[in-house]
Amino acid sequence: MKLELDEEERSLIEGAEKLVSRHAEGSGTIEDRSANLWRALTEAGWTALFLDEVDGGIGASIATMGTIFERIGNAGLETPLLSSMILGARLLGRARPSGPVREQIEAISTGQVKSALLIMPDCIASLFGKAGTGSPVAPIRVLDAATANLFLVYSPASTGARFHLLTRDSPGLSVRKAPTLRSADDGELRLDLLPDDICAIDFPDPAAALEITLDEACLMTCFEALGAMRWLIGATAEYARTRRQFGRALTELQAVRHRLAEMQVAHEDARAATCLAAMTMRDADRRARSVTAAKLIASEASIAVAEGAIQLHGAMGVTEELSVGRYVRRLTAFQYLFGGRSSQIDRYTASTSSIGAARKSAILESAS
Amino acid sequence: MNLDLSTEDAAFRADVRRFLDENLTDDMRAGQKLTTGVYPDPAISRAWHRRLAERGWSAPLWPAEYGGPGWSPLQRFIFEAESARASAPLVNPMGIRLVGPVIIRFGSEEQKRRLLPPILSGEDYWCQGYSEPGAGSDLAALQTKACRNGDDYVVNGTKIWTTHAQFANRIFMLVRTSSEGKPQQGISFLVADMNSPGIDIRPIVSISGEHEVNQIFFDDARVPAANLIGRENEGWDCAKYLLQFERGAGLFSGRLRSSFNRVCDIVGELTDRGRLALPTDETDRRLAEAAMRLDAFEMLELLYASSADVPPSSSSILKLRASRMKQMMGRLALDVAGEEALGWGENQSGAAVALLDTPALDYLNSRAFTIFGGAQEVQLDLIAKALLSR
Repeated sequence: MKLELDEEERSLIEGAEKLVSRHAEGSGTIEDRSANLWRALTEAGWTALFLDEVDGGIGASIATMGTIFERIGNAGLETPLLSSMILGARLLGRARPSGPVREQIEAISTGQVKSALLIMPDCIASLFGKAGTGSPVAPIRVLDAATANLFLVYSPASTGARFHLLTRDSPGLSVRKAPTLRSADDGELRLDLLPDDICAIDFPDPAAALEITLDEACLMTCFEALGAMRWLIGATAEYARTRRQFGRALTELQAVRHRLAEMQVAHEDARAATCLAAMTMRDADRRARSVTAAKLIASEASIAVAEGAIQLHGAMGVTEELSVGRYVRRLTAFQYLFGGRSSQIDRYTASTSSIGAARKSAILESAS
Repeated sequence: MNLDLSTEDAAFRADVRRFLDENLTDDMRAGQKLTTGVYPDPAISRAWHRRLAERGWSAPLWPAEYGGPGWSPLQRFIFEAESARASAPLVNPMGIRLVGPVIIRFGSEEQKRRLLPPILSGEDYWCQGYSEPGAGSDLAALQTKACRNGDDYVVNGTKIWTTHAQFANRIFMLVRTSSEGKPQQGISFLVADMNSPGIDIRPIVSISGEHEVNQIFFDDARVPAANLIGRENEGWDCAKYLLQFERGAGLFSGRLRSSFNRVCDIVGELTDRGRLALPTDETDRRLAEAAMRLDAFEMLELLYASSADVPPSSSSILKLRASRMKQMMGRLALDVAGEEALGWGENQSGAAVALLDTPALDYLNSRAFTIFGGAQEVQLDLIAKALLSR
């Protein structure tokens, strides 16, 4: 049992951290700095961390990848890392190896191409929850669709669901910018033609590939949320220390100190749940329990931290004058991505009998 | 980072399971399952303490030279988790976990020789004399005086909230030996024989109807000066040491898992009787959520016990979270039982005799968890202080 990052992991993270810090500060809009960070990450080959060795990557651990997401979340930057690398390149790495697939993986990793994942309704709920019923033509929200050139589409077929690879130019596909609380790059996709065999990608087990991909992505957003929470707690503590009213700093009020303490405790809860999930990704059963728990607990923590941050900043907290609002919006979106509270509990109870699972320590029980 | 158990740790876990299988009796299990107080009566726990002591496992945190088994934090965790799973009785922590480490750290060789073996074996049953009517959260305000007179200290005053004083043959206490300087500078750490003349115990009945805590009156009680642990007026250091010692010793997980197992048992019994107060799918969802939180809490405890990346207020964070989790379990048991939980003993003496007696008693007792051992508000203050001093 190893509960800390080892030296190799630490040195990988340190390098990525430096890059992230450089772009965290400085002049320029968030969009500019985020774009610059993405360019730097792809050009320096840091995306290789998110790919298994067999796909030409370094095969960094889940904990390493997660920590990098945490740093980016802390910096408040928005990159295509989730969609392109986790929901894109890593997903493609689960397909049967072929020239075209390898080419796409490389194109994504080098930043030449940005990808987005679309899950058709009637299959599994789309990433933002259940899409409209009835017409398959209804537009579907997709993370980072507005800036993607490559679309991985998961859709039903009579012989079982499968993945297809489409581009912006594919007939029947139209993309519309639809910014969200999360990102200006989110979009809406409309597919006039349900792809059948068009550009199908051969996966040994498409459903399993999708499930683990979504779980990894969900976990990465939990790590990112930890970073955002960490920033908010730090910023709020700093504000409360310096802001003076009634002749004293806000921190002299016990109610303010206690609220800050609650934010800290919430963050620690989320950190523990996220670490546990990061260490239980290999086994599908444990993963279902631990990722759902991480998502639920981290979401709840992010509410406590986001709302506490706004509250303790007073009127300033509800204006765009500070960065607080930006972090809060991103955390609010996080709470509903990959399913809210109810979905997480749904999946947990579906994966295992609650009483049976309840009696087992997730840490000590293995599948066998 | 990974959760893989080494072959050694897997073998250890198997060993622990075997020990529990071979040594836990049905009576012990049943006794623990019906315990709604902070730990079971000695009638239930002392036999178990004896078995543990025979195996050399009664003091997981003690150094090997004093009888500790030399376990790593992970092994301690495994032991606690397996014990909880098997419903092993919780042993009174006062001797093993509180006064024992203080004696080891601050005691003379004579005191160690005299006092430690019966703590280890369970022969001595201890209680803690800390709080007073005027000194709860503000413990340093304690007033029970100990005046040196010949070879003895003469003790006068009163201690309150002493758990199981009615069963204890020994007490460790913080007493005032000087009123000069700051309050903390005049406190000494003394151990005494509960059977000494001048010591009187008055039961205090809890809102659960149980008699768990007491008030103790010291009326010219004579305590040998040889029972002063450490130096006079340096008792506060002993108390602070205990706080540090407890840090990362994380033993809440096992107890919480026990509570949770009981909730599951309650759900099972209610379901058999067709008397579950919540619809089955809602019950399932509530249990799922509790399980998720319990797993995360276990991870938090393990992280704090075994990694270096730990916030300075970690012991406060654990205490706060553990006490709230305990209360959450209490509420959950009530929710699943509903009206079935409302029965109150004929003679209102508390003490559950059947599983379905436990939800109400457990809930009422659980309210104390955010009060004793550092109230919630104090813990929040400490957490904030650590956060703001960065």
